[in-house]
Amino acid sequence: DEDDEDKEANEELGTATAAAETDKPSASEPGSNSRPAAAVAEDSIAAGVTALLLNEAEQQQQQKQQQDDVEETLTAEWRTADRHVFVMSRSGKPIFSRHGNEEKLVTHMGVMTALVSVVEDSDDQVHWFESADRRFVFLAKEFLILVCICRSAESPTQLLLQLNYLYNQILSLLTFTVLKRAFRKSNYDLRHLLPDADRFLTGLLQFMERDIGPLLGAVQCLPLPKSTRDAVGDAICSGARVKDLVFGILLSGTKLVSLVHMKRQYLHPLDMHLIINLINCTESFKTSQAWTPICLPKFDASGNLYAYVCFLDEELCLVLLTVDGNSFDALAEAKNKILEKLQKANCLAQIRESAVAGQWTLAQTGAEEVRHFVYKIKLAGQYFSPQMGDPFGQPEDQQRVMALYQRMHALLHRRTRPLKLVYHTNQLASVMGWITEEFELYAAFSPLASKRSAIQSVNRVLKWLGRERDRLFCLSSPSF
Amino acid sequence: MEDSEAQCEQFFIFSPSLCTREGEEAQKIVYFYPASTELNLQVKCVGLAEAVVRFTADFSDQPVRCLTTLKSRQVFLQPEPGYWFVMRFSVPKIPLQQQAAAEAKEDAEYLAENVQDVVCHELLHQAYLMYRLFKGSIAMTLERGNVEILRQKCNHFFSRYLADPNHSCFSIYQSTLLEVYRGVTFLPLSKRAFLQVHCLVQRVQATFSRVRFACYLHSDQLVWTSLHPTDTRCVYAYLVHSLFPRHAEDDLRNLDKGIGSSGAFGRFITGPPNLDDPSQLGSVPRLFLTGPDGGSLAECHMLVYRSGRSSLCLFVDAGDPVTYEQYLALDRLLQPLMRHASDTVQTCSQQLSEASAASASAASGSGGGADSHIRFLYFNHMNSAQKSTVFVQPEGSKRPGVLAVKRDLMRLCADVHADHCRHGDLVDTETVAKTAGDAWLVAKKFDRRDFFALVTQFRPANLILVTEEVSRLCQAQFHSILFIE
Repeated sequence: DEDDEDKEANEELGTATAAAETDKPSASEPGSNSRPAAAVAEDSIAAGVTALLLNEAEQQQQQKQQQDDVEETLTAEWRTADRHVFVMSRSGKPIFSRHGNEEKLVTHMGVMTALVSVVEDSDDQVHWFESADRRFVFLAKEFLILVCICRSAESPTQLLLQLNYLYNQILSLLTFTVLKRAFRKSNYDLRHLLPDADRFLTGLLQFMERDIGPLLGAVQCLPLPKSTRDAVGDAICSGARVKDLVFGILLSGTKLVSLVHMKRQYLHPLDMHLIINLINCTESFKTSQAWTPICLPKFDASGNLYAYVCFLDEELCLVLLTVDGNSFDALAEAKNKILEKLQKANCLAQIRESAVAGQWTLAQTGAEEVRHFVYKIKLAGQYFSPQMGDPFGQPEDQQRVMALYQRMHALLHRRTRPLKLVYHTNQLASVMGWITEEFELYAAFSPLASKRSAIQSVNRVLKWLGRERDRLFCLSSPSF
Repeated sequence: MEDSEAQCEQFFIFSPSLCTREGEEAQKIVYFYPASTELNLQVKCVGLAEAVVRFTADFSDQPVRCLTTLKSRQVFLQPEPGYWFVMRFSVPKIPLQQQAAAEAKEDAEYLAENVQDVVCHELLHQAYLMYRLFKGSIAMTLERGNVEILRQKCNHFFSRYLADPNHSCFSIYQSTLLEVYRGVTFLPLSKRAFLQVHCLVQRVQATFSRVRFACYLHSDQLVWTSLHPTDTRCVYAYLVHSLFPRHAEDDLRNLDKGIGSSGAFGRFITGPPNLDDPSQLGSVPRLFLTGPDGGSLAECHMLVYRSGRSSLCLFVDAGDPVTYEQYLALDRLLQPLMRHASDTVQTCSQQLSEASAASASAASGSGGGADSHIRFLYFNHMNSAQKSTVFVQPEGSKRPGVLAVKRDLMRLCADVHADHCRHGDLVDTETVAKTAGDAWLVAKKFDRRDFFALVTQFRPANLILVTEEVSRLCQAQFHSILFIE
């Protein structure tokens, strides 16, 4: 699905692709085993060998090393971690593991690779398997295999979406062009090209656990008076008159303050989440302005954009994305102009004020029975959700609500039998999911709330959202 | 667009422990369907299944239940230690338009959601339970014999079982959540009628001490049983779907030939076809039933005696065959008792059903009659009781009937059921859903009872009106059961 980019964008970005070409990877291959573990395991499965993993000769050879591995990896704690994520090459070379040192998981990754290829041999694709308490979800791409082993409420489709995010994170660091070139040699060790993969992939996983945005395909905005948001947009528009600038983004933490785009260019929520993750995971951005190549896979998976990143204060981060790899100075200057305009219009103070936690609470909606909600405007790809307060103050309470939303989302979004509405009550809570042409809404109530009062409260929330729409969402999107 | 059917493509039983040497992997296979499958492919399929089993065990203390690929769904069951049953279903597909096909790099869209794990898994579980009912447990077979005998038994049983259209393994298209429950329809009776049946069974057991269990059915509905609940479900399914229909045909044939007309008030369905002829004792099914301790299996002969619309099943210790004299003595005892019981039950059930129809229509006008806009499905896990109006019975037909709601609505019931099970919502749970086609589902779970109501053609409809309407139905139909509101 990295093929759905705007064709025009590809043409315009010819330069970016060319730039990526010059960034040749050093495809050196460190002394590797004669046969990748995957090939061996594949044979074993095909032959149904009792000792599934390795043939005898290799078993002896690797016995000592494996003993060490077993100590680290097969501890009960490692085994039963709530969420394992593995990334490996098609030949079974480890690239990433959420828990444990991926270096020591060669055998496991070999089996996973073998499962993928045995099923592919019969002209099929392995999607997932499950036990009563865990799901094993596979995403097999042209060069990479991603696997998630998870004990959670998420449906296989939702877990697959997360793996797709991780895959796109890797593309974002490399571009598809570089990935393809690296695997001209099939047992290439991709970690040479991805020194920071752990940081970004772990960061993205944590982001997806906390934030419902990736599941909804939507970005959360920082609530602001419309006049302030317009002023911010104007400041970016007029301040950044630099050729080839594609997107100008102002973020407060993980929330969008303003997005300015080049005409006819559209920023996909997934690309936005990857930008947010890039900023979240790079501490050095906080101390000085930075210049970094970044591939936005939905925009153009084959090439890089260049990001100028600068924090205007503790929370507030300006990102300018361009196709021109030599415009750092011009963009640094643009930043100064933008900052000046923002200060002049007194925007910074207002943004800071709005960012203070607890500013946007349920109490304002006047809906007593609603304990929490998430509201997405489908067309804008944006959502709003108030701070989780009582009775969801503790992290485990928040996870429980999130899990209920995930279940409702899964029931609503079944491909062959989608639902319009679902209302679920159990001992601990009542929760509702509702999809219309225009919006998607999830709300949690007390388990004792009657349906009548719950619905009345939801209507009150919708009324409030209607009144506050312009504050809560970024609905006008200015272009350069 | 109506989708194509999902098919059971493969069914196999294997045990990793049966192969100790490389190159002899075929030894692991106990049974493989279709038998015409090339041995290499059999070994490959078993190898993949074993790999998935082992890999799951690396990360989970629970065994693997299902494997989903683009084109198939496999369900796994380890009913006895070391032995795995695997059923593989094809995923139905719809052809894609040329342009869409080019984009997706596939020529068809596979509808994975139309093959539902809960349904598939239950079909597999039932296959095992039916095998155990007729052939005994695997452990028992291995204790008394060896793997070769196990292979023969599996082959003998499953080649027939899989070919029997009543077991619907080949077409899960026909299977719905009803399959998951495979419930038993109980016949509601007055206390007096029920006691009469109870006394009848007691008297038979007191007279013939070899009778270990018994059950009593009237018009394909269960009245009384002393079997283990699991066995009740299996035996009930066997009687209602296999033995009785087969016998209905025999009845007609016998009438033509003039046999059995002399003993019109009672006769053996299994056992001697004609009590005047001592040379023909007929065949009696041999079943393996759960003992009173709930563990070990007891081998029993099943004698079925029919009088009017009532059938009495006696499960007799399989030690010695039942002799002609014993059959005669049983017949003498049963003929008057059964005739009387059958009449009582018939009269009583007629009265009750008339009364309940009258009260239901008086209560709300939505009492679940044939033309009702609410269809429901109810299952009680404690006694396997099932009540349902999702099928419409064609006039005069004895077959299960046709589905009165859209198939996708039945699938939605299974979706919600699976969601409740997966997340441990065992009590006090309710899910209300509105579909894209504006039908409503109200699913309730209370105290090991499952209830699904499907509301179509109800205007104006909203969350509150629909739940109120379903509550009224519950009160009319299940007034003795407390549902959460």
